[in-house]
Amino acid sequence: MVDKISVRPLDILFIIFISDILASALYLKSLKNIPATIATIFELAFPLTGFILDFILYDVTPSPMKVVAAFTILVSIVILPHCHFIEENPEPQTVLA
Amino acid sequence: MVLVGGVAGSWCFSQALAATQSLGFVFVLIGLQPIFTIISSSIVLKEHPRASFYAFAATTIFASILLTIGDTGFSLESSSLRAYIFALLTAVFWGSSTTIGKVVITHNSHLYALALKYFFTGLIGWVIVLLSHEMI
Repeated sequence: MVDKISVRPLDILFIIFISDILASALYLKSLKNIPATIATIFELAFPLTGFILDFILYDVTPSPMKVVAAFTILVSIVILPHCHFIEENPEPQTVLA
Repeated sequence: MVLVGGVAGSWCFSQALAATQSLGFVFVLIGLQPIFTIISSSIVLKEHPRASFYAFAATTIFASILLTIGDTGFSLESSSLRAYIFALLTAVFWGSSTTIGKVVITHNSHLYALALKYFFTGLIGWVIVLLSHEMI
């Protein structure tokens, strides 16, 4: 269904190392320190990167809808870690005499 | 992690891409992978976030989908059911692989897990390619 296209080996290597191996290494490193549920939401920042690169590199003027979506993702990334876990085993309260 | 996130996820992703003319709705479905991570991590890792987390997560997923499909939207008619099924399976596999990755990472270094993932994914991938005679 999809036609074969010619690609340069260096492009393939760039894609493998930057967008795959480096990204996976950073993702696995982050998983060591943060919950999987937070990591998976942070992963949603990748369309945000595309949005920013589109604006900087290709001078694409974003639509208001895209700006709102990008802002929403940014705000969520800041807020999410603070509203994550239910404290299941709270510290015992010190009873003052 | 190798079989779910590496082999099965990548294979389903390429199958979904091959079965569609328009990438829009395929990427929308793949963008749902955090849902499967949240489900699998609640079962396997016993991660139980607060209720407010789910509201923010749903909003972020929706915003991410809006950014992905852009202003053009997507056409449901331009892809086959096969493409949607494979896109959804990709989301399931990639979403679950985050949870499996967390389990692996808890007991190993991230570089060891990375090397393991790429070595065996590549190895199994080549075996599949050679067996199916689908050489590029």
